[in-house]
Amino acid sequence: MAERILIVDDEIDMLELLELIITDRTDYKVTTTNNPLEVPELLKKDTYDLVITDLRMPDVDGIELIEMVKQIDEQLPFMIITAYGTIESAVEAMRKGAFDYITKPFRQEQILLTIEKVMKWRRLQKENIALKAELEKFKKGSDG
Amino acid sequence: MGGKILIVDDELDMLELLEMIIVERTPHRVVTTNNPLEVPHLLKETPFNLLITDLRMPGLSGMDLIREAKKIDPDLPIIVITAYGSSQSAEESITEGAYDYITKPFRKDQIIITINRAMEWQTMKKELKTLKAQLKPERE
Repeated sequence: MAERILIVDDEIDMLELLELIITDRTDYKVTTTNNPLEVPELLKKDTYDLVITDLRMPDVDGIELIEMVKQIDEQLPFMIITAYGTIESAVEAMRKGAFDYITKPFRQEQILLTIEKVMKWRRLQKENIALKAELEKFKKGSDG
Repeated sequence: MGGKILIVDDELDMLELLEMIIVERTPHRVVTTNNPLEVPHLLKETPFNLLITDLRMPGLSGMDLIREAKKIDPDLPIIVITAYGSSQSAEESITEGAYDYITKPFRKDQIIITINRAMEWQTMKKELKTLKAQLKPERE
């Protein structure tokens, strides 16, 4: 099953650019939205492996979005996109549980490497969870 | 819980700065060297949880160092420190097997976050190995 990335940014140009880079160079499936309020609904509808979000958006900012999503899926990794010069808020987002951040303007390679790093993490995390569940099942089986 | 970090840089100022940041803000122990040629020996002597290295050093380049370190301990996470503007070589080091890179000048909290992530990564990999070993007899 293809891994899925959700991108949230109020700037349509940025959404298009990111989607283009990712679909051009990887096999990930990309969903985009310029409305952060739509995110909880999207996450309930499909399973995602990564959320890429801008920090400064009207209505809901990136940090509020992280808090909202953590309530739905605590382990879903976040990648923050922030303008150079507002690294302070990116670090704040990391403290709130974002996995990594990238500053604008970014190079294509840089964004792809960061995505790969998160996805590697996500795969390992999922594999560990699955193995733990399997082990638990065997234990239960041998008890009964 | 604290781990053990090896830092390699030919600039003594950078070694001191990194050691100070890490010791001040984390429970990790730090060993430093300004001689990359010493690294294989140090890695064989005691296990480390993380290697932080500069890319440009006389004697042995960071890229060669990554290869050497991976031969000794394939699971050792490596963080590369690189100057702003040379992100291309940082990207190459990732391809070579480094876990992450940090661009100079860096922020203290940024380096701490990267270090902690790399150590967590190693913990997760070890956990995976243990789980696989535990499951092996069950699956047979």
